[in-house]
Amino acid sequence: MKSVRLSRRALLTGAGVVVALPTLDAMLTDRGLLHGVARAQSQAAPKRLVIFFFPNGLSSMDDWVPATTGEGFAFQPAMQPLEPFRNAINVLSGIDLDVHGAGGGHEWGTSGFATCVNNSPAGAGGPSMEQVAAQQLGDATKFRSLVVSDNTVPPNYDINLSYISYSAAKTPIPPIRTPRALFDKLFDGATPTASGAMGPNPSDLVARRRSVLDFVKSDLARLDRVLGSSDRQRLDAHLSGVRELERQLDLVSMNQARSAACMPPAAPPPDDGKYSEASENLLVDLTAFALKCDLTRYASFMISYAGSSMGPAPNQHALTHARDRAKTVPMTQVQVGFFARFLGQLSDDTAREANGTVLDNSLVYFGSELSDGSAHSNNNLPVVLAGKAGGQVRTGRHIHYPDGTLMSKMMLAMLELGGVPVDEFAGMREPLEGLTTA
Amino acid sequence: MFLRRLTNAEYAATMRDLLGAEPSVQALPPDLTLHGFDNNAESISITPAHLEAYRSIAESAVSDLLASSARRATVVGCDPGADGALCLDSFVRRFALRAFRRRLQNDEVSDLLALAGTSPASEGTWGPVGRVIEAVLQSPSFLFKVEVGKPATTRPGLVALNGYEMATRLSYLLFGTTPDDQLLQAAERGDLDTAEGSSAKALAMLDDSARARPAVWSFASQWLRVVNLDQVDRPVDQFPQWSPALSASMAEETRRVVERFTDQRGAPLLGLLDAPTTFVDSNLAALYGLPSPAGGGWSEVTLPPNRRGILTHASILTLTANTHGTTPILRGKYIRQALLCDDLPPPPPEVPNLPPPRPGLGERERLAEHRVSAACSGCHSLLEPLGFGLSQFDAIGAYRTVDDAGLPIDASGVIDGLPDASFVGAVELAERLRREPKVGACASTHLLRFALGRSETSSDDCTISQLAAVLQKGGDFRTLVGALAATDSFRYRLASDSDRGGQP
Repeated sequence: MKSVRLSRRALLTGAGVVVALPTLDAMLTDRGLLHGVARAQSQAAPKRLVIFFFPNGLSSMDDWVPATTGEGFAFQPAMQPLEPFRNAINVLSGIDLDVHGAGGGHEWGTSGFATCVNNSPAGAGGPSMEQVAAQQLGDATKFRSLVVSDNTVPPNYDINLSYISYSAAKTPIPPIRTPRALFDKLFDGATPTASGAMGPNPSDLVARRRSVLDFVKSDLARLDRVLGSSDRQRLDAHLSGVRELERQLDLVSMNQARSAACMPPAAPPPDDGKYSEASENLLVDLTAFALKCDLTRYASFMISYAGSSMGPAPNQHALTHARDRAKTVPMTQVQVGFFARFLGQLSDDTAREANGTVLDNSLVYFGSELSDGSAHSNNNLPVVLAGKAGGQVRTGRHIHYPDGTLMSKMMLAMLELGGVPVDEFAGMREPLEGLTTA
Repeated sequence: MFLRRLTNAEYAATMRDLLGAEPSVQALPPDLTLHGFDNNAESISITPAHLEAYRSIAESAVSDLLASSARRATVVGCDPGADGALCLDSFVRRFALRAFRRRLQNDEVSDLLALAGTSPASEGTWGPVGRVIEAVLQSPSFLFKVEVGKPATTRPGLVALNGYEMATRLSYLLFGTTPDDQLLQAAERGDLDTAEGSSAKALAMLDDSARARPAVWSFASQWLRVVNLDQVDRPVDQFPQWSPALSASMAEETRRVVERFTDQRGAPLLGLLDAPTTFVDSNLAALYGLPSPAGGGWSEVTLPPNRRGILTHASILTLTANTHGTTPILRGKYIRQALLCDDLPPPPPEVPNLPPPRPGLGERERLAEHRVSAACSGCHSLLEPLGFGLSQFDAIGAYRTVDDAGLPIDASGVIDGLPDASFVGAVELAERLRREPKVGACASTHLLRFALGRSETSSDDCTISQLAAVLQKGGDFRTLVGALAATDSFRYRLASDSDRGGQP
């Protein structure tokens, strides 16, 4: 990742509304933040990239991989909930993740899920695919990306089992873990009241926050002058965070301009700290909502965590280890069901836009850290790639790739099809072939 | 090395000390644990989610503070309505000294005063103060323990810390919070500039045991991995004695025993390993087969003959078991990582399946596959033969004579890789570990990781062997901490390839 260099002058002069105006202008006209208004008038809808994880693999890949390739394949039992989306997805088999480092198959498969690089005890060795996109193109929307998971992971759990999204090496992105927190983030539920006593007027609040951030930037610049390069890595991270807050302040005025289709849904109840299927559904719905309303274009969704025995699939870790196929399949179906719900949301009536639906303009990778859970194998992974990336991908097929085909190829293909200007990902320069209509 | 961010716990305690009220830190993403500790600079990064949370916590804290006329008078120390610019100037210098843990440069003061000046009349006379506090609380000088060092005191590869930076290291190590005025004054006077001064200050701080105990337990609980017991569950049909109250008692037993060892002068710290006594309440007494303490509550008792030391605490025996039963793998791994600091390489890919448990198949036979296969035996010969030594205890730490498969317990074990390696049962294991020099070196390594918030490097070898020697000679915790505060690792930081020098 290109490191953000600080210069005191740039910091002190680049702040605030001066840089904000062209950005706002661009968003109003062709990037389509105003759902259903600006976007319908623009030639092409934006492309979205999403990663969607379920833990622990399967008891047997025979419950997953279709017996025939090409179109018209029969769905195996574990993938049954995706049957209604047959024409919107491709099933990919034969793809391997060749990463190593700290821990074993669970750890490598999770930290490497979308980074495709070796890990260390402090996490994956590089940014994840959707964050590469977010870093390059994310400033078109209110949120560069959304990273969502549920609240099943215990505190202090192993980093390499708990995160799939990384902004850089060893920098996992903490997910939003409850529907209420996600709702508050998407719709600023928490912010206007935070300092209500100080200045209830939103524009006063924005001005106040800008002034405060100006000082934070002057402190960053002073420290940058005296600290060594590795210390400066954290300063850079701090500065990018400050810039992100500033960017969001630029966008505050946009909230009033939402069209009816993007009016916030009812607020979820306050968090009770417990896991439920209903809360997982709400997380799925809100993530889909954010994509549909173009609040973000890059998202990451993680069901539970690797090695999980909690959440939607209690005992699933033990069951895949014991190769208990009969009991594993229904649990996998529950997890696949969340993904099917997600696809449903991205392709329903409220998801229509130029070139079809939001799903048609997306690429969504659904998979797990393992294939055969018992063998802890990262080979021949279960992979579903949903969406057409704006009509580029021919869907409805089972595509089998030769042994040793690397996941980094698919990630590179996703970035290229998603319109992200990159020429390599995780050292890979050749994108996965066979996806497009050409 | 990475800049060390305040951990969420340190941040909460620091906010409490600065503003007189401890905020909720629920909104902050949890800190990530690396090598057993939640304060490793490599794993605690800063993300936009952190900054959003810091902002919202700071905004709420400021609005609460300014709404309380008593608290704001204490924190601000003057009335900006009456004393105007004079009040702001003195407040800015004093508050930022505490929050940044150093003296401010003039341009920093003027930047903060300029920020105060942006407050419109609608925010009232206290508005400028609020803006200053919010900004300070979101600044890197507050959120990170910045260590620039003293100019012109560089040894090859090392940079000496200045007095304020020493005060900061000591304070977060021993009090878990920002340096108080006394410590900042000691820094200002130069008291912390020598090894002797640093060591003396550390001992004086430990003597303030009410403030030191929580931080010491924070270290010890992470060293001994007695964390998250409240996350553990056991099926009650299989373990009728299990209850959330029992798991709370387990954690409390270990906390009390550790406190006994860390508080008491002259008690060898490594005596934790083979201590013949412990603390029990009625829950634990029942679990250990001991009479309930008379009059309820906790009392110190002699352990039954099959138990000795911390490894036979129900807390650790439970944390190193699975939900439905025990495995020597986890217990062996615990001893290797927490007590011997052995690096375990990852398991190979495509691990073959163990035969499933079935009645009559002993755990030793079932796991034998791990030590036959060359791919597995490299590690598993380090793990199972060691873990079998604790097989007299079930998954909630109760003593037993038959294992999960119903076969008689064979608690003979081997500490592969050490001389004099064979032992039978937990008591002999405890005695063997107590004699083992690696255990003292490992405890010293853990203390270093906690104190410096980083993983050890080869530059710490000398420090670790100095500390290990203290423990090997039967040193108590106080002596260990005093020695640590005088070491190079504690008084210097590692030089960076591109240190630029100068002051912020």
